[in-house]
Amino acid sequence: MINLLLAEIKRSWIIFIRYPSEAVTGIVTLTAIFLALILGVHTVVGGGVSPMQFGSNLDALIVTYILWGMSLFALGIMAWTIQNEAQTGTLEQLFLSPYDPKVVFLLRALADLLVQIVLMIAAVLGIILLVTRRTLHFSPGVIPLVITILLGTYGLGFILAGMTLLFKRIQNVIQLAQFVVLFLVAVPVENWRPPLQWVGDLIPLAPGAGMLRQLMAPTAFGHLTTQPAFDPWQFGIALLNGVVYFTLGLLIFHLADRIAKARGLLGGY
Amino acid sequence: MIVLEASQLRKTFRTRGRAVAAVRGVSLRIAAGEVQAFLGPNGAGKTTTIKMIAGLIDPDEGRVSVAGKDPFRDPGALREVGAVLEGNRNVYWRLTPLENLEYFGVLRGLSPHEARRRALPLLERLELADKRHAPVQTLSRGMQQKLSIAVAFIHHPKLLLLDEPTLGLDVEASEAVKVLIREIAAEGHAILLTTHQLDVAEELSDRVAIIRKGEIIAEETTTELIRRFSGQAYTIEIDGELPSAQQQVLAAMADVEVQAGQVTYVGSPEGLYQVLDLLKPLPIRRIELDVADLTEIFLKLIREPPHD
Repeated sequence: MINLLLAEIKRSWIIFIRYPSEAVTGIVTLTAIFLALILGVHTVVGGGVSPMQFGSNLDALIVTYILWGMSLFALGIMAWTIQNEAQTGTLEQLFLSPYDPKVVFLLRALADLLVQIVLMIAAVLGIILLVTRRTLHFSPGVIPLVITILLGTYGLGFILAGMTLLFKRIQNVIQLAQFVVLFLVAVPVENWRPPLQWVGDLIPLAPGAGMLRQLMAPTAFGHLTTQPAFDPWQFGIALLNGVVYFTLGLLIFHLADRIAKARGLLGGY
Repeated sequence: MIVLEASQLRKTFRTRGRAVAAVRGVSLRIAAGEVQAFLGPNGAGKTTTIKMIAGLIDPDEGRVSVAGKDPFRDPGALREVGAVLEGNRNVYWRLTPLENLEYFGVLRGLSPHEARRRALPLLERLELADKRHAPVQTLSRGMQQKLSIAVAFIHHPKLLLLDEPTLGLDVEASEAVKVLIREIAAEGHAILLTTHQLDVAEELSDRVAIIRKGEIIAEETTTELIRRFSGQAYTIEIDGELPSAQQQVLAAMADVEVQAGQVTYVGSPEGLYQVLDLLKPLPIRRIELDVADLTEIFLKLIREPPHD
């Protein structure tokens, strides 16, 4: 499986560097949107406030923005892959493999995320930090939380990918799902108290995203917290949330794959 | 050794409450080193059958065995299948031929090292070595098609499914693809070939299966099929004018047609001598047994009313 992951990374990397105009456009767009957001906040708060004075709010904005960007990409990439491969006439070749299609699409999605988004975010983050002259306080505890969020996101991504196998073109659903994800990563479940908190624990991505915000920018969005930096119990809930939605996504994709093969839907659109 | 054994495959598609039986009890067997042409008009069920064999469509009934493994129950069976599907690009146009072969080699279960080791000689063999670093979208249609076959073959599958491999190619590219198919079969791989170019099928195939409305209506060796439909018509070319008395006798025979300088007889070899006797003493320039080609046979078979 590691061979396939490396082959997928190599493939994504080649396509990324072979068409640099697309990569540059992506970086410029992501940076421009973020700078527009900063400018918007700056205007609202007042012209005399320097980016340094945003303090943790700016950190939280950067974290949420990057998280949102990664989640959007991870959410739609498998569905886009299926749609593009079907249009270009290579989809069936991906199913003609001894590897399970779920493995193939997951590794493709991971490779694309790693090469394109991580690289883009690194570039965007570099530019942002240069412009705002800030450094993010990065805790190693962030990584497992990002993994829980990505698990949930890929789970939702598998559901969209399964829908694409069956219904072929679902651009509108993907676009709608992106706004839903924005809500899911931004909903402040970390401030909710029981019984609402228990409901929050069931919302996809939300427990991990809330914990990540607390960890990276505890005073963000005006709410102060005295909670410890890393709560293992809360992390367990976030991880379970991610695993449950990931498993659900795999099951739905598996089912869609069986239905597509039974109805003869795999193929060029 | 039998590589492909598909038995009693059935598939019915349901669209808007209407059931369409696409494949009705199709069975195919292909041995190692054999090329089986799979012929039929559009919509006869060829592509559905191929996709069932490749594990891309789940049959309603029947089973498929590739080198003893069922592609639906054992994903390892797909290590033994390679396919070029009609109407598809089958390869990534943004990658080079070498990158495509390396990627698809790994996707089919090879190590990156092994995929690269096999890719280079394969490109040499296909005369694509000097294009190995050119993006596929810049290559000619013939080169792209050769690459599609190479990509389907990189993991040396026991069974190769080729759906219209010479469609849209010029004469030279078509010849190159035919040579490649012959070589692959000679190396012991089984090939299932669908094509509308019946001269290509006749040239390449060891066996022929003809499908009509989801059912196999003929399945035998190519030479036997051609022999079965040939050998009944003789064309006799003569020098000089046939006397009118002999002309009248010949014209009265039900299976003889007389034209200027030529007599056509359809019947048994014994009856041919009766005709030759009637032509005496005119010099005979040529006698030829009319050998049917696959196009005539195909058209004859698919136009026959179905036997219930």
